[in-house]
Amino acid sequence: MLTKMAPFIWKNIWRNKRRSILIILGIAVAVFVYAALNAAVNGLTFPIKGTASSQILNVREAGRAQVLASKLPEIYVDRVRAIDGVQAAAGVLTDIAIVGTARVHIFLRGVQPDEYRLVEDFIVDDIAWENFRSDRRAILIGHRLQSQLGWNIGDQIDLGALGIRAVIAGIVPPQGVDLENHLLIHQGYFQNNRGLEGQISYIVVRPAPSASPSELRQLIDDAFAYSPITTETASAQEFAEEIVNDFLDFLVYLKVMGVIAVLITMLAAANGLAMSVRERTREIGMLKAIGFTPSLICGMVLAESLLLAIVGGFVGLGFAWTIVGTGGTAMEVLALDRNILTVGAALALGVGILGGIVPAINAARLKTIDCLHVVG
Amino acid sequence: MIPFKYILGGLQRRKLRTVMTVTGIAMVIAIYAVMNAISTVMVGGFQATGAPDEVVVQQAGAMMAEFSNIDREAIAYVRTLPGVSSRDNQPLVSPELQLTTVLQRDGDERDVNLRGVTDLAADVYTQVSLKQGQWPATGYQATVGVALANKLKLDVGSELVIENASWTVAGILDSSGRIYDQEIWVHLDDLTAQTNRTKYSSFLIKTSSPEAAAALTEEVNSARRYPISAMRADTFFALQGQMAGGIADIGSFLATIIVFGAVFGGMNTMYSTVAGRRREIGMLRAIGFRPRVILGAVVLESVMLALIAGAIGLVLGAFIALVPMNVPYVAAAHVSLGWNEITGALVMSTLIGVFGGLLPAIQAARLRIVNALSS
Repeated sequence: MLTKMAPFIWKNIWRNKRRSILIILGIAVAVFVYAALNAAVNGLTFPIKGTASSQILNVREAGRAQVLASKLPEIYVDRVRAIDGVQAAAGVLTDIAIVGTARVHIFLRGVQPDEYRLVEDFIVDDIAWENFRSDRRAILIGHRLQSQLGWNIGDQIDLGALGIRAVIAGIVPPQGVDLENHLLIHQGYFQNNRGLEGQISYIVVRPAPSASPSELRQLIDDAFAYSPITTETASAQEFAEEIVNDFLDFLVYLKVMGVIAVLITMLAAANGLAMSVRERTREIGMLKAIGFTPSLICGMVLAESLLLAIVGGFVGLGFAWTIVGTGGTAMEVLALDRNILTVGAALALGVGILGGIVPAINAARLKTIDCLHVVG
Repeated sequence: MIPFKYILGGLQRRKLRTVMTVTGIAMVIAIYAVMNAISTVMVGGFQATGAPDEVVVQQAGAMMAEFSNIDREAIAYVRTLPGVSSRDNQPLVSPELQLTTVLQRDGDERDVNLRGVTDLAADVYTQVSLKQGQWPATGYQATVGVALANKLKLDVGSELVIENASWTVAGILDSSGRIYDQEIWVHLDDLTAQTNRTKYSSFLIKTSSPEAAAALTEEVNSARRYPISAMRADTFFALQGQMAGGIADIGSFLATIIVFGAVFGGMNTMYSTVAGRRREIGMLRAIGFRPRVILGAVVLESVMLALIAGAIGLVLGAFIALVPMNVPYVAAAHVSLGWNEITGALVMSTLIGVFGGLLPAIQAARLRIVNALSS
């Protein structure tokens, strides 16, 4: 029955064009805010959080407020390797560089190639790997970096401010690991360059199949409990989240703001719909008089509300899309992905339902005779 | 002019609609005010810091002081640069080790910038003065910035646990609102020993004049004797402020967009208000009130609605600002709604009121008396 009424419902919405447009715009604003906000968060954090492994363990200097400032002596790697339950361990020296006119942030990972591959067994072309292994100045770049910076195999690049000259030996293809956003460089070369001989940032560990990761974590930290530099071992996933939290503590407030934005819109939408119901009391009375059941009336009002919300959602997401794109536009830190779009649409629908339910029920409950009494 | 009472009275009718609109606008203003306050806190401290005759030197390409590593031997080169001021034959170059540390005290946990300095700091940092006690000396003594000290109720003699060791507060420093008020200063040698870091993070150089500072900066950056880069302190801290501000800007930008949402909501309300009072408006016109007076009245009603909402929003915002927050870069952040934020919020409210009410007001003003009376 309700679907037959669709044209009628549609016409009803456009009877008061101004109000409908305002409600749509209001919802569009909230959805846009939600989408843009999360796109910003996405763009900033995905390179770090999106793909960190939950199996690999990460050993870092204990107690650092900024986990990326972790500094460990290189000799710790051998000690970790000797611990029961450790299948493979590799030291990593990290740094961040800002490259190019687009000001792309890249994470550099200084590693000893063979040692590292034993821990993080990623897929890469054999020739590329061999070229990387054999040339001290060679680097491997993640494919995301390649698309962002337009670098190609064989390019001699200059990581300007860091004073590093390197040649690109290969590209790490898409495979769901965080390496895709990073740059692998020879640890020794990197250390010389930055004056950090004998030093690494953290150690990555592959637990033996029989080992329990949680027990292994404790074992590792215990091994260094009385050393001058104590350690904190966590999963790679947790480490990635810490990095994000360090830089983006502020995000919590932005997210709260996003939630409040949605609440505000619900209020506004509900207000608008309530007003529209109030103004059509007479009409609703007439519909009831000719036989429309209360549930049908309720359904109609709700359908109107939903339709307005859906249109608003489209407009909001569409606007967000044009401004933000899917990563790789002027505001290159922002990335709108499927998740955001889905939740954005769900939000719009939610606003439509929650905003329209009370007016709909009220409309259904109106007594026919009261409606017909109303003048104007 | 239509009497004020009439306009006020208008607000009293349709209470539910008014309340809902006010709530919506109040929430928007609250967010807007808080975002602005945070932005001010984050940027303000940096902008005040850094004198044009000081130069900051860090490792080339380092993103932040904490990620900067300079070989200690570089200090000999830096000390002999042209333009460096001196006092008692000592070049005013302050070598420093900087770290962010987690400070835990009485259930409060926050990230604080730790600055390891030498005895020279007192002479190099001319804008920093001692409010109490003394500059950090070896022996695990700490000099705490006044804002941080106030926030954590620290005094000379208080004990702090930093980097797994116990330090005693030996002094309180005051830099008149610069970021140093948020920091803890300790002696470089103690910090080096405690954290096993044998490199410097940065140098702060005092020169004789802004021109000398510019020349020195140029010399360091072009000579490339060591992998270090120099920047005049005022530029350096302005950039830091920008970075901090950039984050805050995202918040402000989105808050401003939400304001549009509020405008649409307000417009809806005013249209409905006007629609509901067509007859009344017709009557007013019939007895001689001119169209522009009607316009004024509607806009004024809308503005009053928005201002009331704005006031409520400010109160709400003041409460939100009290929630403890780890504001990045500013350890002892005191987020409060100052005159800047209050004015901004009231202006925003007025704008919401004006724009929310303008179009409906124009419609009301244009109503033909005959049509209005017969509705």
